[in-house]
Amino acid sequence: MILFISGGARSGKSHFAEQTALSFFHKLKEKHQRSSLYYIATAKKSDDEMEERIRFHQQDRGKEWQTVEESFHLEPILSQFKKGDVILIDCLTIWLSNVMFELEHRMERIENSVNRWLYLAHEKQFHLLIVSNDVNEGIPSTDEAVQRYMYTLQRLHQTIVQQSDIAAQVQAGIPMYWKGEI
Amino acid sequence: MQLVIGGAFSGKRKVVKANNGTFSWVSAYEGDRVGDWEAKWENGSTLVMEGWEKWIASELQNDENNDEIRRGFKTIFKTLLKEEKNRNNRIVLIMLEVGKGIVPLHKDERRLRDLAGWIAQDAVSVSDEVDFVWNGLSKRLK
Repeated sequence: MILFISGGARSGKSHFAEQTALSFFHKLKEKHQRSSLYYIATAKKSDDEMEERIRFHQQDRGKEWQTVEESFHLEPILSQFKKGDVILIDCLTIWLSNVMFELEHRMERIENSVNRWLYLAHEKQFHLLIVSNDVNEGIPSTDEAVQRYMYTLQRLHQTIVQQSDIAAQVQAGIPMYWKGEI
Repeated sequence: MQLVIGGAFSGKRKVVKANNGTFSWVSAYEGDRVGDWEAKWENGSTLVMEGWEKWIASELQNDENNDEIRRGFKTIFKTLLKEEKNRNNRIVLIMLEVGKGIVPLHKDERRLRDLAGWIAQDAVSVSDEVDFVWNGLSKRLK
């Protein structure tokens, strides 16, 4: 199953995604099915502010989680997961800025990567939750790089939502379902 | 009249095009002016007008106050409504949601943001259908 979860900054989207992933994991365990719960952190510990955010999110999560820190290449990691695993990617926006501005990947390559993630989730039958940000509802930026980033992010969102079973927008911690429902 | 509103690159056109029928597009992104609808609207087609934030922005260059600009767009909506009835066709307005980010630093951008919000509210009040678009999906608000 593929879930797409988005929302504004500090909207509670990560918390909601974590709770959802955890409940999937517990349900599978109750049915005595094998499952592992993974958290893929795309943010780098680049500065104090980021470290604080990371600490804040880590304290929020329990001991059921295995954390993988990877800022760029998610595909090799995803290809190792097995049927019934629950994987949370937090978050798409940071990953995109990493591959776009540090690795300077072009849009086509970026889209291919994300399509591969989605393909792997279907193929290997693990549960994939992707967290992202709604950043496109303000006054459009006149900066070319920001525009390109926003355009690419929105294309990825639409691709993911199209292939998702559930798409939720979180506001003040409460999910609003645009597709499917939990 | 239908209003389709959503953020940048959220799939608004795709949502509009998912409906059957032929369309006459009047687009500020293609350099069209708001008044071009009269010449561009082909008989028997749905008129789609997009790029309102650009049309509003160009009004900001003129020496009009906010109320005058807002009134000007209200008049346009009224004319469109009347013509929609006359022709017995449909009109779809596509608008950009610009009000949910951080307060812009520049005065002109704040003014544009305010006007775009007010004019969207005016468009809502004259539309019988309003849809919000998010990542290629839409929800009916009215």
